[in-house]
Amino acid sequence: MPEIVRVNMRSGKISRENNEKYRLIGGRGLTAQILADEVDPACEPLGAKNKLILATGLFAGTTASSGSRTSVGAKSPLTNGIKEANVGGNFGWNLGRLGIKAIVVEDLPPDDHAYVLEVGEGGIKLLVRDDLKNLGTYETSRRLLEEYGKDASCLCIGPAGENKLHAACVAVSDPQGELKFAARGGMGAVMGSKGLKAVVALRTKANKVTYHNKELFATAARKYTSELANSDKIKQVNRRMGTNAIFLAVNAMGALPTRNFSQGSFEYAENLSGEKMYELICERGGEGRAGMSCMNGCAIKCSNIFPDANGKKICSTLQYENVALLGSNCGMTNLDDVARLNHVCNDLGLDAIETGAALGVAMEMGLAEFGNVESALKLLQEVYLNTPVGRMLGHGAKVTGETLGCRRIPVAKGQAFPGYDPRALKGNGVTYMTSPMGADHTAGNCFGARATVDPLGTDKQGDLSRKTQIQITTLDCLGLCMFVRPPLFAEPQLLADMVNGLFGTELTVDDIWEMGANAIRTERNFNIRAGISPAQDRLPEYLYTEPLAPTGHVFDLSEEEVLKGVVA
Amino acid sequence: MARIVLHLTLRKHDEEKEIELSLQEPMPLLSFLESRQIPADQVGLVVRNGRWEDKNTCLIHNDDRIELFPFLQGG
Repeated sequence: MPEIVRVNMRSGKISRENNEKYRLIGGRGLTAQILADEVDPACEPLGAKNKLILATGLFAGTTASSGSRTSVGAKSPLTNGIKEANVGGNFGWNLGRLGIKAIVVEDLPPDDHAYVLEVGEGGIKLLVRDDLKNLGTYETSRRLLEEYGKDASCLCIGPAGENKLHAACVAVSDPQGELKFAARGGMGAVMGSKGLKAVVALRTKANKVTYHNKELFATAARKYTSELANSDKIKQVNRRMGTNAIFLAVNAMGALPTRNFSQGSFEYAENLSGEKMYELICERGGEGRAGMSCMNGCAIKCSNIFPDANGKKICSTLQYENVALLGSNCGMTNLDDVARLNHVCNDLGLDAIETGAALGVAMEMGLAEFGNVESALKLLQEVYLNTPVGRMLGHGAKVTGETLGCRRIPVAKGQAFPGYDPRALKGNGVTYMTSPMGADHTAGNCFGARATVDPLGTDKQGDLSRKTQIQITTLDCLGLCMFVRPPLFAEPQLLADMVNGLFGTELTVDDIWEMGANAIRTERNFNIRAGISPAQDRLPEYLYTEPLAPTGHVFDLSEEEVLKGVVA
Repeated sequence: MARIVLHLTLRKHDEEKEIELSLQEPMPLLSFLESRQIPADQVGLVVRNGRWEDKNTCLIHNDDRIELFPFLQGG
């Protein structure tokens, strides 16, 4: 049975254990359950009592396409509630093959050293690596992968995490050595508080994943992988434009964050679109690429490298949320500017969504200028220097807005809105309000259901949000990427077959969805005990009174409708 | 003149992104889709003059701008 590894940063003690209780709990469900079992919800997020949990989903290390994501969980310094952010890359796959289900990082170190945890077949070691202190994520991962080999996976933080900035994220290397990010909720700050600069998961020769009925698992896995691999839409959309394929659709709906969420569409949207991005990648060539896998064996391949006019890499990977928040939300009119900002956020180890929202607030208050990339880059340099202004921005949109006296602060439960204004996509407003994750599109994105529910309507939004919250959390528990949805949601028995084939259980489809619902209930109970009452399931007041152009809508759902989104 | 914008996979390889239609009377969107051999079940989002529309009841009027998107998933 896969083990749970505990690392105590004060004593340096490392232990391994099996716990039958957690056998059928994975990913986000596992981070939630361990936190509920072991962490005082009232603790300080950056204090000794909080724990950082790196958990694999139930399918980690298997042949399931896009099925080895890593969940990073802790009590969040940003929301002051429970948080999970999950990420692609090879880390989860390597951990799964090593027979490790989770790494629980406990307590605070007695010194100021930078530590690296090395996890491999030969054992687990905690090493002092002060040579990595204050390095950006790119250089940190480059050095560690050079040292440990390209088959290893590096999970690390940048200066933002080391400086315990509340918007700090966790970076994970992928098969090409590019970085992916467990971005939301300040998990990088928790990791920084533990003095943990990086964790390196080595590639094993042997695979410790065991199957109870390999044929049952493999048949189901092959079926959905084949459907993904042969899908025209995957080939023509996901592999070319990644998630940025939706940019023009969100703009057309009037839900695109624009100039600090003051408008819902952007006059330069075509310049930032997925189509334009793919056109530039092809035209410029050089290091530019589209259709890259972020995990071994992924059939979707939605990652990219965006190059400059000379073909030199600016940033990998450009995706919708970052283009929306660093782009239209900051008034940027071209993808080169967005990519430059994104690269800096990545290197600092800052959540690009939170940072884009913080920059938007700062621009509204005159600290920088909408559309002026140099002014935004100058502000981000303050984060590298750890100045008071840099720390303000690095703590996210709420701290930035409150410090500067901005009335329009686009946050829910302390966390910045992602790329959908809730006035024009009201189902996502319900998710921002009722999810224990706060304003997080990955907690239940209603964007994909537009054929059946009017995004501006005042009914059906609660039920839609609740359903998507449960479905997506279930995928998070299994370790699956959300882009496996079409074949698996069309035939969810495949999910049950894979779980049953792996574990010898006889779970039904309803049991599978219950994994997600259970995780959300556990998180919500944690939050209530942390002092986040249902009374805080609110959006900022301006959203109820300030109409959003071009639709002219405010957020006008009844309390009864919003409550339908609660997974109780 | 109504303008219909076909996004992403709804556009065939050699097809123009924008199609102009001169209409004497309102035309059901479903009829337009049929005339262009675009399967209605592939249309995931219809935005008419900046507002969401139900594809099953949407009528195209002269001077409308209609944007059609395939089913897309948010990231």
